[in-house]
Amino acid sequence: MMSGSGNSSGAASTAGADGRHDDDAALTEFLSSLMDYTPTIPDELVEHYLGRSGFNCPDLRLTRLVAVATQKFISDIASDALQHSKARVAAPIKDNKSKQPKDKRLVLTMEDLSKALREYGVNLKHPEYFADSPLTGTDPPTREE
Amino acid sequence: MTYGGGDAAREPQLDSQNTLKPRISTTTNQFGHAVSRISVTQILEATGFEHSYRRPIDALADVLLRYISHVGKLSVSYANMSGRIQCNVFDVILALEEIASVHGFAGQSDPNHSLSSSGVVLDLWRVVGKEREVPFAGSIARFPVTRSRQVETSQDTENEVEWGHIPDWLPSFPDPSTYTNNSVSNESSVPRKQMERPHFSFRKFFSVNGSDGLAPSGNTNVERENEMVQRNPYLVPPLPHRERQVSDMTIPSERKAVSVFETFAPVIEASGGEIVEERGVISSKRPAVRFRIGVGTKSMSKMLSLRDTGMKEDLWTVKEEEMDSKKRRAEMILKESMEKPNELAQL
Repeated sequence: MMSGSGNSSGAASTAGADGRHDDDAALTEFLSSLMDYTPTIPDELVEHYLGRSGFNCPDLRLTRLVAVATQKFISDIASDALQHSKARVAAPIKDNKSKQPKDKRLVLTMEDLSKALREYGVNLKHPEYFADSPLTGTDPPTREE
Repeated sequence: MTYGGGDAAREPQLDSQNTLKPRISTTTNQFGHAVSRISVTQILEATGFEHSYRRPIDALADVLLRYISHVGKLSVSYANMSGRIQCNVFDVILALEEIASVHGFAGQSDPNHSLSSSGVVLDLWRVVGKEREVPFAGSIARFPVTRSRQVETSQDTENEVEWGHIPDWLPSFPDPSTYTNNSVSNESSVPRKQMERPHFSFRKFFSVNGSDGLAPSGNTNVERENEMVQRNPYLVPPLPHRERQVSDMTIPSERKAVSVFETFAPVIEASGGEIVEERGVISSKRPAVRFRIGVGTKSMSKMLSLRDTGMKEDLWTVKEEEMDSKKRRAEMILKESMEKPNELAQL
């Protein structure tokens, strides 16, 4: 009985070891495939900003890993913003007669971007307008001309 | 993909939305920000956007740089927690998992999940394998480019032996002739200007005490030391133990010889003489002291009655009478002291 359980645990452990070995092999394969793939973010930029944070690693594959991760992050945000933009375009217009038909162009606006970023924990506030003087909007008698 | 506006200029410009464009923060970030803006534009184009305003692209470029810094910081912290200073792949995977934990990834709930087959890694593998490769437009050099500094080479560094255990950034050793006892080869071997002098001269310090075991060097050592001393008051060497010429005390010439009167000035002051009034006035020239020598015959009762009425003029006269009596007493004391100089102690 004991030997049987020992054998089963041994088998499990070997299976686990094999699993880990497979995982490590997969990871090694993935890292080597990174060298063939050129991410959109250049390596020099990633290296510089990683170095500024204290990241010290001479291995280029790790730099590529971070570059690919960053690219994926930005593309996820962009696709979310695209969804918001498409939803805005597809929304029915209340006043069809006065307004012109909606522009079918897909334009990235601050509104869509801030909505997309909010889900990722980035709060982006865009001011509505910029005033050219501090007294803009005040009452005319009080404003110094 | 159309891009609103031209390249970033220093002055605020109005873009298509008629809003002021904010300036890029610092000069060190400008290049990185510009490069990341190009990358962001390419990513947006690959995603499907046709047009964009400038401000969202700037925002996304900033987010990109912050993300890279955040991943780096987290990886370093994981490496440090494991007792390493160099990050490895598992530190990076842990950092990516921590960032992705907000959104969630496959296998997050399992605490014993393998890092090699983490959901984060699988997602990235999907990106690498399936998505169309969009390389960066153009190529950039390694930055920041450090300007090559010209290192000062003195004659010492040229002749110096390269030690393996001493780093290069340390200053070179001083010339051996500066600290050897050999006075013959000292001045002729190395020109004075090119010799590196120590900042503080122990030789000078010790020579004062008589235990001068070092060879005398030229004036430049003293000059340099004086220079250093003048620059930094904390580097002034302590005063050695010997007699020093101290400036004499300057006694003001206008003071008269010490007389008995001067000695008893405090007594007169206490008694309320005219000198008190004189001293209250700050003037360079001391006015002459005037005493009224005379005997006042007014009685005390009259003085008291005047006080009760409270008339100011009378009070002044009363004060003068008081001063007269006190002056008389002071003069008496002076007379006695001049007659009997031996009995000064009683005062």
